Amino acid sequence: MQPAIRNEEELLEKAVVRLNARLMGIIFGLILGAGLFLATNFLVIKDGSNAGPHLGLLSHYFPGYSVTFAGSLIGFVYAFGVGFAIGAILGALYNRLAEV
Amino acid sequence: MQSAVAWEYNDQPQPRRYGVNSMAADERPTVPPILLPFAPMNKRALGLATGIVLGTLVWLATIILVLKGGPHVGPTLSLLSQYFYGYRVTAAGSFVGLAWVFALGYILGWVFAALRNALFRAWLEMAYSRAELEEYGDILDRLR
Repeated sequence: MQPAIRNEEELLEKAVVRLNARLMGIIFGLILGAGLFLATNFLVIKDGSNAGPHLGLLSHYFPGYSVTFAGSLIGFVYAFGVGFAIGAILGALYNRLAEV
Repeated sequence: MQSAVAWEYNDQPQPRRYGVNSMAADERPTVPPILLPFAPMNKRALGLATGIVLGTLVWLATIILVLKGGPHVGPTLSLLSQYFYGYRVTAAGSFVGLAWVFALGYILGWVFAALRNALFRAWLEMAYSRAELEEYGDILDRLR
């Protein structure tokens, strides 16, 4: 293998990849938000009224959330917020810890 | 202090320094930004970060229910005790849950980073090999 390529490899092994905290937040937020939105509407379509007694327990944490179509939109907003916080904190913490 | 590692593309705009635990700040290699996505993840850092975030999440979920109170607090969340010995939906139990989920999160993050690094390294090796093959694949033809 060429010396320049080996040099690149050695250099890369000593470096550490960094995460974009804001991008991580957006990705986690979209995944959690879309996940809850889909899970809620799946139960609404499948069971109609009185759907999802267990999923409905999320209203303890997300006031206003219910297993209805309107609730799925509210849940999307909440879950996006929680996911964004998780992703952003995870990315920022990783970057900080990787530097130590 | 000058980096110990020579780098042929050091004239790229504002190369940034990224460190490794075992190296002093002055000895860290200078890596051009374009190559940074190919660097390995720090397994311990990702493990710690995942453990802290997930542990805090379970702690918060428990404490919110404890603070809301009621006759029978968190019957569904307490099912976590099936997996996390000693966990209960109480103030003390929230810390037990935090410890359990921190450990689980640490393992998850560490394994994720290790797998990502291994797969990325394999992919890089394949890319290097393919590039070499393209460059020297006709070496016998040249000897004719």
